[in-house]
Amino acid sequence: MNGTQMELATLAATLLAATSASAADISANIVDAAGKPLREAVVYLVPAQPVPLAKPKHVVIDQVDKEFVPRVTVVQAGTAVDFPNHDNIRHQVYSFSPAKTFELKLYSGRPSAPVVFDKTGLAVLGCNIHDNMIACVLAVDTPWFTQTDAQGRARIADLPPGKYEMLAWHPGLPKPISQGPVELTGSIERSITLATGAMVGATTDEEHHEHHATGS
Amino acid sequence: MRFRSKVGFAGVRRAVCLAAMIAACHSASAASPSLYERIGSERLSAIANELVDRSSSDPRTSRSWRKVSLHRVKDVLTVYLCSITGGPCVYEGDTMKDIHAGLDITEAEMFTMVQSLRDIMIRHEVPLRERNELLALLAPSKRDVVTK
Repeated sequence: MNGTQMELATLAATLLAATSASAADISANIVDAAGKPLREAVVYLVPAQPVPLAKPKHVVIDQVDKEFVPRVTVVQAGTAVDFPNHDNIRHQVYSFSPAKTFELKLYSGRPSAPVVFDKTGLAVLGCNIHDNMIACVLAVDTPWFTQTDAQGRARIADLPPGKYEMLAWHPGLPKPISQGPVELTGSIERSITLATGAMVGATTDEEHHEHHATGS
Repeated sequence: MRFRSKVGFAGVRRAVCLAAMIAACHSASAASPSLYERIGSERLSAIANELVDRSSSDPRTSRSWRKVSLHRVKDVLTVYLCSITGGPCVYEGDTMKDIHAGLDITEAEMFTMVQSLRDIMIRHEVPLRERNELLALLAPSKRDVVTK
């Protein structure tokens, strides 16, 4: 075995050790400033070193009884989102958010093209016809994200061990908040407090009136 | 030559007469105000607003208005009525068919709304002729609105 072969063997062994190391997982408990569990909060981990990512799958935001379902969606940037419109009536979905600006007219019985959320960031969606329809789409630069349940709990499993930045967000915040770097090995638990306000994009009736009076 | 000139004279007279009639016709049509002008822009938008308020609160028709942005419909309906009555507005909204698709509007619901419109116009003292003209303009959309 010459020097180069030795090096290759060492490299192979290192790689083997890295891949055979058990995957990490992280659990988070998210509460608001008053200590109340926050549902619909988002937790995600951005790897410190960029890693090649698979093309994300399609995601669905449905329209059911004049509401977006789900109201909060996290996607990997580049994800195509379908709006199937189970209401089977007309909707006019729009977003003025810089992360994704679009208008999508949905008609009864007419399928629509998916909307690709190609940039990271938050898009707040509304419907011109139904004022109370509001949804948030947060596009992130990682496939490792999740949302909290009704008890404010979230868990991301099968993470490759390594260094990440953890971020958290809730519809009551204008943007995600960094929770600092985390080095993942084995199982990790974190408690997060988010000082949230009213859901972003929720406007008063007067504001809506002004918007429509000048914008249509 | 004389004969021909006589014919020519008669022809000229007929032509002058015809021209005068056409001119009279034209000036009559220019002078006759559109339905939009006769109802008046303010009264028309008041009618649109009240029709939306009444239809969305009347238990016989409120079903299809649930969760709908009423102020937007008021704006769009005002533009629509202005455009079909010969006003200066250009309606660029969806077709009546697209707007009502999937709402399963019944004939009874449509008739209730027509009755409301009639009542509102009477309250705004729109004369019978204008009321009938507006209803006649709206009547053909029944086939696009009533789907059940």
